[in-house]
Amino acid sequence: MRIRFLQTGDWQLGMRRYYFSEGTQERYSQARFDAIRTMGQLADDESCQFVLVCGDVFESNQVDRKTVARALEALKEVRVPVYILPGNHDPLDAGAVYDTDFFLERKPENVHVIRDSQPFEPVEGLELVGAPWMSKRPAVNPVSEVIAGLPAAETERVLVAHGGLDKFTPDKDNPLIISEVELEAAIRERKLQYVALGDRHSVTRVGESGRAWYAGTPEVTDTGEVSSSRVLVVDMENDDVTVREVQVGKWSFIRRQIELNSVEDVQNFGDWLGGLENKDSTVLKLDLAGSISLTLNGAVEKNIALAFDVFAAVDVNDDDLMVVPDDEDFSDLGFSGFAGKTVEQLRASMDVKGPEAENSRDALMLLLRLSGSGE
Amino acid sequence: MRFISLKLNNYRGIDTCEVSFESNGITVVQGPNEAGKTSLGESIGLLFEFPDNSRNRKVMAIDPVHRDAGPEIELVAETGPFRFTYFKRFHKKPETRLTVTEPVPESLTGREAHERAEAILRETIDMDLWKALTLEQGEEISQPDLSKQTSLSAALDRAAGGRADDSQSDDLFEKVHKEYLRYFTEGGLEKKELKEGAGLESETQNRIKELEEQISALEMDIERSSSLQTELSELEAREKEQAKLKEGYETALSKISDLKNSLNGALLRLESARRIGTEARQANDERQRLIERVADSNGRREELRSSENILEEAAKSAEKKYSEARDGFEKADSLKREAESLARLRTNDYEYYNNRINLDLLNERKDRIDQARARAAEAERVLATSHVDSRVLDDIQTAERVLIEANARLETGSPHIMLCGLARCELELDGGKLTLEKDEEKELTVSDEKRLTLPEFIDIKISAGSSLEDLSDAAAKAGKILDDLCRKAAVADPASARKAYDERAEAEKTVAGKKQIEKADLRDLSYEELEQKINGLDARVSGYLESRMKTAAMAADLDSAKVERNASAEALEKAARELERTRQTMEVLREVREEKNGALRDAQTEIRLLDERLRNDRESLNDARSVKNDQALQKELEAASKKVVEEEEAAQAARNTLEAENPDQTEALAETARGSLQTTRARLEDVRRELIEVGTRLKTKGEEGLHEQLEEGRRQLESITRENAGLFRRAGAVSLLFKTMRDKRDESRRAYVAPLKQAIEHLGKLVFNSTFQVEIDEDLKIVKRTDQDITVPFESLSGGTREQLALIFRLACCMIMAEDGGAPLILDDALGYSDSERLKTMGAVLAKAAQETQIIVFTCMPSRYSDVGEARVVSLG
Repeated sequence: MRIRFLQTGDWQLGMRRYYFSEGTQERYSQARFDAIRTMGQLADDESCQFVLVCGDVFESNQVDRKTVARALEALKEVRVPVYILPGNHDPLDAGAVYDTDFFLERKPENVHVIRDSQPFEPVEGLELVGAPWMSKRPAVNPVSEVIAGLPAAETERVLVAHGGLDKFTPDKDNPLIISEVELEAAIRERKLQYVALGDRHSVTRVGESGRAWYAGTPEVTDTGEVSSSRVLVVDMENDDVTVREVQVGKWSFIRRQIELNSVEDVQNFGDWLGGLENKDSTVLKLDLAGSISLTLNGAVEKNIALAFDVFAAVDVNDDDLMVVPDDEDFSDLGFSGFAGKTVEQLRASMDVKGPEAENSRDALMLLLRLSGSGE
Repeated sequence: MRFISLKLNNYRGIDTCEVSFESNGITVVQGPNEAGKTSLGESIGLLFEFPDNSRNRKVMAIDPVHRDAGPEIELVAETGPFRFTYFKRFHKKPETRLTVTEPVPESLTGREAHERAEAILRETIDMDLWKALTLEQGEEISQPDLSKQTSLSAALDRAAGGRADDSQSDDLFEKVHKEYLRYFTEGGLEKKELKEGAGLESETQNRIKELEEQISALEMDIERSSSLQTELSELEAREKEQAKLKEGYETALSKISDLKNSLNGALLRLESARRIGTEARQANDERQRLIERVADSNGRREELRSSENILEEAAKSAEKKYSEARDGFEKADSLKREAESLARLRTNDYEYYNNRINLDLLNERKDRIDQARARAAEAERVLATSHVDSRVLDDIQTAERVLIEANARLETGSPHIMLCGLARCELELDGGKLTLEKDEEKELTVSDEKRLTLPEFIDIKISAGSSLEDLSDAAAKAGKILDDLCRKAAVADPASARKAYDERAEAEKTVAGKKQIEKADLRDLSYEELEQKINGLDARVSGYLESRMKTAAMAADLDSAKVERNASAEALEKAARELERTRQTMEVLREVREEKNGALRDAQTEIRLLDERLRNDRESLNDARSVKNDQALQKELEAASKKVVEEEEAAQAARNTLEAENPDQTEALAETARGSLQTTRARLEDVRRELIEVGTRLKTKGEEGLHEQLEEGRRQLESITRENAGLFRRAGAVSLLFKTMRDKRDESRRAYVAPLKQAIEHLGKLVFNSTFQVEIDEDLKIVKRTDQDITVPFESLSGGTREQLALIFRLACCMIMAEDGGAPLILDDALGYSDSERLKTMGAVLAKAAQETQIIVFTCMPSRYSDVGEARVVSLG
């Protein structure tokens, strides 16, 4: 008998990005709620029997009621049972969002919170064991504790867990880190047939068995995430497990280092920006480096100003970009008289590193702009 | 620019007027008031500025009076490379014509002509500067505002060695200034946008801090809730365990309580048996004591009876001895009283004799005083009557010696008669009798005359003769003096005087002696006290003998009285000693008597009491025996003792059973268990209450979405911070740019002020003197003038000087600009404040300036400009 379910996690509902404008933030939040609906539709389309959410549905237990309400509204539209595991962001502690009257009163029938490690059967022939986080800093590793208490499975058994894997974490002494070896051993000993993991925002296979997977986040949360904005469709049949990644998210986060040293570089930069698609759902993190003249910097700033207008968000780090006025910046303008002397003084004060130099550079940029050449 | 000629038609009150100007030099246009001078000056400006159809009030004002025609202005001028004729008719048949003859001929009309003219002017002349320099009629000559005159700045910059490029800088500076004012006020204060940016950031930070604190409190509550839950579970388990333990101890305690009750019953029974045993023993003991006491009392009574007789004898003997001793004492007492009486008498006797002697002595002293006082009274009388003191006596004795000497001298010179008695005979000499014994010789000196009569026989008269007369007179005179002195002293002769003197001396001595006697005899008493003392003694002495007791004979005198007194005193002392001795003896014997009597009384009392007790004891014994005899009592005692031993054994057995249960330990453990359970339950209650409190807080705070609020706050802060960073960065940049540029402009101006200053001073020295200097600020204004080393602020100068400086200033500007073609300087009735002397020197200034620039003067007072050197004079009207 084939069992199919949809594995997801790390929805992080209620998450904020500091460099977002209010409008972008709202659109981004909405995209995360939309992802739930997409998943629901996917579960239908793929005939999944249930949805497994491997922790961190909410960014925090102290999320806004509106966030909870919108999440529950989206979940209503999922027509199969949804099993939610409390993660480290939304543990089942005394302040748990899952215990609030607001959540309990509005929770749709199909939504279930895994509150302990008692095995249960969401569908016939499948035993589900959860390792919920009962607090932000539990005394013992929830996964180890659950595995230790399990006998060999008589039916198909899936462990739903949340947490970092020792393989990916430098802090290996942290008792809360999940041991890959331990998972592998439990699978080998047939205590578990599949481990559905949450915490990593990138889809990640764990171990060699192909029976342990991080589902990743359904909507990207930051640059550096590989294969995020996806969910997993898991098939279990005849002791065989198949996992498929399906894209559900629409946003993208791009981090790019831009070298700017010449007119061509500036031109390429402008072209690159112009060529990016889905700008209104794309977040750019730009690390500008190199050395350019005031005039070129004017052009760069113009490009960036334009990017601010069209992209969802732009985060620019120009710490490594040197802006050095050269003679050409002013030669066309033929500044002389006291304006010329002003330029000379400001250029001289740029030789000293520090905020004063930046201020002088800005002043020169402004002078160029006001003289009509910096535009 | 140079004006060649100007023609007006139908202009205000002017029909037609045409003036040709000196192209380089001064043109003085003179004429009476309302001849059109001001109109000429004014018209050029209107021509350049307004199109022919302008409705500007300035243009409207030039319409001709009483004529229905349009005012016309036609100017022929040169500027830069251009030479042109520019014509305009306003309002009526408006027309504009521009005919350029050089460098390239052009002919334009209408709007085109106007715009072209503007373009030419703009290209070749700074019209603003030209207007600023032009002085119109009635306008007070003040310094023009040239701070924004770019062409002047350019000229000055060039004159200062710079380049004529600051016009571009000025334009740019204006833009920078405008940009600066977006963020800052003119005074450099931040505008609302900057202030609000910082304020909003601070507000958001505070809100974030507040949220962080709330979340921190919430997290603490969550942790607290968890630890409370853990504690609650532990406490509940502990409570159960402790309750069970307590129950076990309670059962053990119940058993112990039963055992304690058993022990208490055994102890009570033991106590009862002991009490009965004690009572039996006491009854036995009491019976024995009674028996023994009766026996003792009998023996004692016998002893006392035998000693009673002995004591009676001793008492009698003591009484007798005491009686004898008392008699001896009384006798000694009588003897002593007699001796005392005698001793008093003898003492009185002795005192009597003593008083008598004292009385005599006092009387003697009183008598001496009385006598002295009587003598003194007599002497006082003598002193009162005698006038012969030592002086009077000396006078009398001196007079006596004089008399004796006179008489001697008389006698020596007088005849002497020697009488020798042959027998005794009676003679008369000078009538006096003179007896002459036999063989007695008597010499007589006859100083004057002597008569010697032998009664019945002879009368002999003897005369001294005349040589003795002076001597006799002297003697008589001396005698008279002596007599007078004696009479005065109330004495008969010197001998009496000497006697009186002696008596007086004696009286004085007596008076003095009285005081000594009084002092010696009164001693420390007054006379009255002496008298009182005498009277007192006298009273005592006089009555003593009569009142004296006659028991003993009176001693003969003081000494014997003293002996008697001493003897009686000794007798008294002896009697007193005897009395004391007998008294002591009597006292001793009385005590012996008392003691013996006491012992007898005691013995008798004891016998009486003993008799009483014996009787009572016997009765008690008999009574007791009648109730229970001695054997029955003994048996009861033995039975009771046995019972006590039995009960003691039973009690010990109960105690052993109880102690086997370790009641103290069980009690302590039970008490501890109760306390622990109570503590646990109290803590349980606290934990449950705190859990409810924490739960309530979590419920209210937990659903407020604090974390999301915090995240949103941080997002907003990031946004605000970014915006502020940009804002502050832009503001900082514009501030730096503006300030740098302003500094550079000021610096530049300070540089090009120098040529202007030089030009002004060059002209000024023609008017003032060679020390003339001015100070010019960056805004191209004269701020101070120094003349003959005295520096005065411009505003403090006189009206005339200010006017002259302002004109010189304009001329200097025109001269500097002349290199660029310059512009004509038009002066309309200027220098109205200058005196004739200054007018002369100002004329020299104008002449000097006119070498480089065109000057056009309109005046109704030609004399003001009579000293401007070579000039074209045009008369109007």
